[in-house]
Amino acid sequence: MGFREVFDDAPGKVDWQAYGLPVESDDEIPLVKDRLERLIPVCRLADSASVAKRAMQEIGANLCPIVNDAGIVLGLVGKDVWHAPDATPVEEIMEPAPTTIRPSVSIEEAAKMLDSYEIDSVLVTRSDGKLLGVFTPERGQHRKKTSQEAWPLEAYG
Amino acid sequence: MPQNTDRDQVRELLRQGAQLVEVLPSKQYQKAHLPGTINLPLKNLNRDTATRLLKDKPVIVYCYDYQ
Repeated sequence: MGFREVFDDAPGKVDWQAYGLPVESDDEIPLVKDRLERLIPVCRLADSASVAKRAMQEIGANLCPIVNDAGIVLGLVGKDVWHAPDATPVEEIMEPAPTTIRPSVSIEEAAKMLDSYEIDSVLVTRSDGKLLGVFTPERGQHRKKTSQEAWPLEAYG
Repeated sequence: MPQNTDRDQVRELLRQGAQLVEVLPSKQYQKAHLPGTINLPLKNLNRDTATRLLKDKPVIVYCYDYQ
């Protein structure tokens, strides 16, 4: 058709979105990237449990991703860190290759995923694994209540 | 024949004034598209519809993913 230079972006818009790059939309579907907590503690593999504890305490977080120098997620420490001796390397107590989601996932889909995995929060990363933040569903998007939680215990008399 | 490119090169080409074209159907385009993209669904792509594009600027086409 007479065009001098034509390029094919083979990875497509899924790759663009998974990398956390901006997109425009005519539908206003809230995405994980719209409700991301970016202020989170992080540690390196060589850090000890005491470093993770301090970082979590300072921010009031209950999890601490372990990242490399490029910010790529390697693991995750959670509440278990409080039971570990301070000198323990985080590498020994972390959960390697934790569950992550992309910023382009809808909040509804993310909440369902957390529900099925029975976790409260999830790390959000780009398609190359670089940490962007943490997503925690709001109340109402959280886990389905069990029959006991649906009504207060007092209701049973 | 189009040259394959990737995300980083796309960003560089856009800085140089390239035109972005999404070839998916308009419903999918409306759901989400890269900023500044023109929608030219593949089944409607011909010489007439392509006149929206400038011939002297690079054109980057994209789809959903590798398929």
